[in-house]
Amino acid sequence: MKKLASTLPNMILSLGAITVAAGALLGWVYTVTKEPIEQQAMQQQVAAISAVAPKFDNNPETDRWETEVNGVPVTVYPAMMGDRLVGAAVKAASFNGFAGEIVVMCGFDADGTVRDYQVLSQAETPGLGSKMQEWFRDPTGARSVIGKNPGSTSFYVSKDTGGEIDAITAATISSRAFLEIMRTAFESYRQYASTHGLDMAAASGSDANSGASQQHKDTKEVKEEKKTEVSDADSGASERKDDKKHNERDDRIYFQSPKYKENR
Amino acid sequence: MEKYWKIFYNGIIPGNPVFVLLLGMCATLGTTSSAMNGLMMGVATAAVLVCSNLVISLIKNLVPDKVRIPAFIVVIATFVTVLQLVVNAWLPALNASLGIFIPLIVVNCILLGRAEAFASKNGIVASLLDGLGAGVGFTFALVLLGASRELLGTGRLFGAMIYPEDYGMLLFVLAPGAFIALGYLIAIVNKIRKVS
Repeated sequence: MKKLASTLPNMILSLGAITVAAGALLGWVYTVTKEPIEQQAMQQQVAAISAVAPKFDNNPETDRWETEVNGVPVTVYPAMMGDRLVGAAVKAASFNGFAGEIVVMCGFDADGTVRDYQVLSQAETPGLGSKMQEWFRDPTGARSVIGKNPGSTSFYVSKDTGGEIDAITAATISSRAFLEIMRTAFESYRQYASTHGLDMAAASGSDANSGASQQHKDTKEVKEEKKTEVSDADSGASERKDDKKHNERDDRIYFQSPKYKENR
Repeated sequence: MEKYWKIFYNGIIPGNPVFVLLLGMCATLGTTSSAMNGLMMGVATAAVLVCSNLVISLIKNLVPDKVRIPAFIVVIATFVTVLQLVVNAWLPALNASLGIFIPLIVVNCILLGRAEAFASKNGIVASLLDGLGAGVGFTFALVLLGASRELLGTGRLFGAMIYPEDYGMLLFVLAPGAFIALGYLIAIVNKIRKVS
């Protein structure tokens, strides 16, 4: 067969036919794969929820509650036993990490103690910030967040004033972002419990306590915000200049400094 | 028979998309942080390459010259989208490790390059073999690059430990290491091609 000449009707017909055929094929593949794709997403979600939340007998997916903290959407998946709140899985995210968005599913007991967490997606530096999935459950030193309550423990890295969690070696920025997600998740969980008239079981005993630490935290929150602004304006360099405390360890170093090895 | 073997073999060493033609560098450098990722990306690209070469050689006479580029791009984009949907539906692990690089196969120069330079001028069997050859060559290059980066960076090969991670050079897992490793591999391949 001879090649079609490049006349206008030929071109329109040919390109039109190709796009229609392509559209039809895509439409068909889309309908075939739609259900499996939804199921996959659902399965991953449910797996992540049941991995971090306490045992529940409701459907956290349908009972979910969505809110927004500082422009980042947060989803609370409550875990109920009968009509008693036993905890929750909270999906929260942050853009303040080293590279891109970090999404974490945080699991809380009824009183807000961290049960477990799962990093759903992150693009931090491989070998440094990307270790967050293991680091913050490692019982060495003050690394672990598991079993700690953001209401009574200060969820900041230990090199920030008052912080009580050890940052990942050479990845303080990733660690700050991770802990920020934890705090956001905890706040959202608390909000959820109060707006839905549910009792955070053990909260009654430590009410005064958590109120005080709440205030303490708020002032720190402001400080943290200021710091972020600075580092936003000019990424790493100015932050280091501004904050002499952080000079001891260079967050953005890529290679294995002797210090890095020593700390391992 | 020999003619067909030559077409197939051309994509693997003499006209290797990565080491000789230096096409598709974005995906090459971006996905090869481990041998497994390189293999997956190579296979995904090869699948699209074979399909698009086949279809383009089938429709080559129905496409007027002046609109051939948009027509080829539509064909390639269709196959990439199909691949993405299929991977999303049945291979979520692959989707998680390759992420954005699957849709980016559309703009991989190898695909349009083979379509334009070969499939639009040759028969079905030859185009199929050309696509297969270039796909295998691309996969081979990506696995080689991924394996050397993974080995030097983390002390592993396809996830199996060769030496303790502490002695690895993290640089090789990161972007600069991709450039360095690629440069040395190109030099080695050039040397081999000259000798043989």
